[in-house]
Amino acid sequence: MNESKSPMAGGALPEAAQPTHPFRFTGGASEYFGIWIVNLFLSIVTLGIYSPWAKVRKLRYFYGHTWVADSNFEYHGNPVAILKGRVIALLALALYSGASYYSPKTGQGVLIVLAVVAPWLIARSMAFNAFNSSYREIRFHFKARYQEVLGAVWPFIAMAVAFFLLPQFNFEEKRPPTPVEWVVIFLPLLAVALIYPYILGAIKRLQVNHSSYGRAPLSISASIGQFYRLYLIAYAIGLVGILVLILAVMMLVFIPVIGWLAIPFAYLFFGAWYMGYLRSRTTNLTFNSTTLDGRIKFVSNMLPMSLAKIYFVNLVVISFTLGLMIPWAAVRVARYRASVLALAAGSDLDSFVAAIGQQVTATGEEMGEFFDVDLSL
Amino acid sequence: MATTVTTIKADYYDGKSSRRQQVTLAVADRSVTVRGDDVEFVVSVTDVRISPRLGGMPRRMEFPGGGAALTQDHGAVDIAFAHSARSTLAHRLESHRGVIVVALILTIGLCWSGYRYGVPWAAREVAALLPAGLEAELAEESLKAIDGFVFRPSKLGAPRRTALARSFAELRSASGLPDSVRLEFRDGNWVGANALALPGGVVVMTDQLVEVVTDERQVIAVLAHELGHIRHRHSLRYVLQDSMTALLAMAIYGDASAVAGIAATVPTTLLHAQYSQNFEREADSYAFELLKKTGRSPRELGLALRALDQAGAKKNEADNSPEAAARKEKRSHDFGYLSTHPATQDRIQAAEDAAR
Repeated sequence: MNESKSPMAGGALPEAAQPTHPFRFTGGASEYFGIWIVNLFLSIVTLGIYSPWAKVRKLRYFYGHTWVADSNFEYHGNPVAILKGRVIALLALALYSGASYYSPKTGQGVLIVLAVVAPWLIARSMAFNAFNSSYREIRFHFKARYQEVLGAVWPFIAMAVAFFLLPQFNFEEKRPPTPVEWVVIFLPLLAVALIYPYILGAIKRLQVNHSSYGRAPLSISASIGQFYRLYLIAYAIGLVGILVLILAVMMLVFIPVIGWLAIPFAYLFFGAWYMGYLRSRTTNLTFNSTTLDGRIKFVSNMLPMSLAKIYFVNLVVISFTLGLMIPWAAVRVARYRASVLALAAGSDLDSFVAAIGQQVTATGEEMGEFFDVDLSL
Repeated sequence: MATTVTTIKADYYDGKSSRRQQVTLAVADRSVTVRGDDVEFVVSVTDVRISPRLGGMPRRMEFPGGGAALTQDHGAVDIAFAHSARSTLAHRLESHRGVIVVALILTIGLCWSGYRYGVPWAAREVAALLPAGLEAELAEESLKAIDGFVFRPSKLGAPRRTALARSFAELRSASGLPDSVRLEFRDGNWVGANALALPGGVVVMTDQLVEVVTDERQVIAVLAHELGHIRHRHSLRYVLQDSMTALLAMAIYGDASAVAGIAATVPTTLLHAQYSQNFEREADSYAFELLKKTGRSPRELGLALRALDQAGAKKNEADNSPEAAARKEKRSHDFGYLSTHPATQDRIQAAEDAAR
């Protein structure tokens, strides 16, 4: 199952003068299926207690089968640290849902408390993930202070506080909302949509600029404005998708059969297109503007339509198999991502990389002595 | 003592720089000799940490000093470092065809029974634990919300209302439900002919229901059905089941990335419809008993269902979730029709049977 060919899509890279080292993913769908199903089964029968071990094996599989310049990546996370983190996250979730069940206000209050500790949790989680990733036995590192993370996520916290202070909308009068009231109702959604690109861009910048590979620092030049541009286009795709979905629903009244086929199709089609566009563009933007040690560049040539096509087929197949083809889908995505990624090194990569030394001390934070929180940002 | 020497070819990294060099590990007796162009050292076999085997990735042998050697020669590693046999346990399970098949079958079985029995059971238990006061608060909140978004004040004549309220009170006292259970009249707006049982014991009936179901006795049968929803705390269980299913789906599918999350919504939507059908049946059988108890015929409910069905009601008479009412417009006319139409026939039949 291990296909070792490395299709460098297109091959024509902007800086063709530089020798490139393509990434490749050597994992196989049938091999990963066995790993996935056995770990899923063990996670279910242990009521989730095994799931951190499953997660570590999954990450080790995907890191370990990702190669560049004849070496693979490694993941070293300690399942026990992840288990502790999950227990704490679960308690926080229970606290939040319990509180919001009593009243939305209390729920929002808990959310604010969570928002205040969020920067610390994010820093912690990024440090844990970086430290537990290595290439050629050299670890990655991430280090950022609370206020630095706060600088990236403050709009979210500000918003949580604002909605807490905002008066609750009153529906006492039995009449449909006026246009102004509709705006107030949809304001939170709109605010999230407008703030999200900032947060995502700022977090990506923070993550790269505060990371290093061994002693070699990583830096990113992409601006937050560039993230905004790409999100606005993605939102436009999403809006078209919603309009088409509404059309499909309306079709049900007149031509039920076609409407019935159109709804899930439109949902998956636009879902895949939206995600494909967003993921490919953010990945390209991030990698193509990232430099290692001021000399080594990354080249990512992900094509939105290719990724969207992969996503669409994945979604359809996963839906029809009730999730059983997830491993196959995950391997497909990993293989594509690796196939369009390369390292562009000005000089001989091997000798350059060999010169990069290990950072000697690792803080307790990095080692996840306390806990790792899995925030998928 | 004759010692066998196992040799392993590997890539060595000293852990201080990312330089790679070829080494040969000679494992004999209790010691390992690592030898390469620029490196040579001896360590005890038990001091070498072997990474658990996983898929086709190289095996990592970590030395006390921080260096590590990587090799694809799994066979030699397993022989040389027999003390860490545990490192291959997970791999043996994950690559064993029989284990994979058994895990697959059991996982499907567990997911199915968890959805079929586990989630409804857990929701019932949790609902029973929650105090009624909370539910009542939830009812007021949701009524207010639906009033704002959908309903208009009822245009039903006062005599009609009084008559229905009287019959409702009679049903309620026969059902043994608390006095706080009450009936509200509303203009259904685009929701059309409908009756809802909100958590905490508020039954909302739309004017359009009386227009579609012209026989008063049949309207009362519908109200009995709604009392069934209240008796079994369906709205609350519905919300609980919904969030439990979503949580479980996330736990299982979430592993696969956010994209799989999109796919996960498709099966969850289907599960949704299944659960509500079960609730309808439960409320029906409650209504049959209550109707008989108050000297009425279960047949009335069947007739009401037929009237609603024939009127092409958007969805059938009872949707117990307040959110569902708000979502209704987005959902299809025919979604309800297709998924509940055969069920409606069954329910009418069940009413006929109960009347016998």
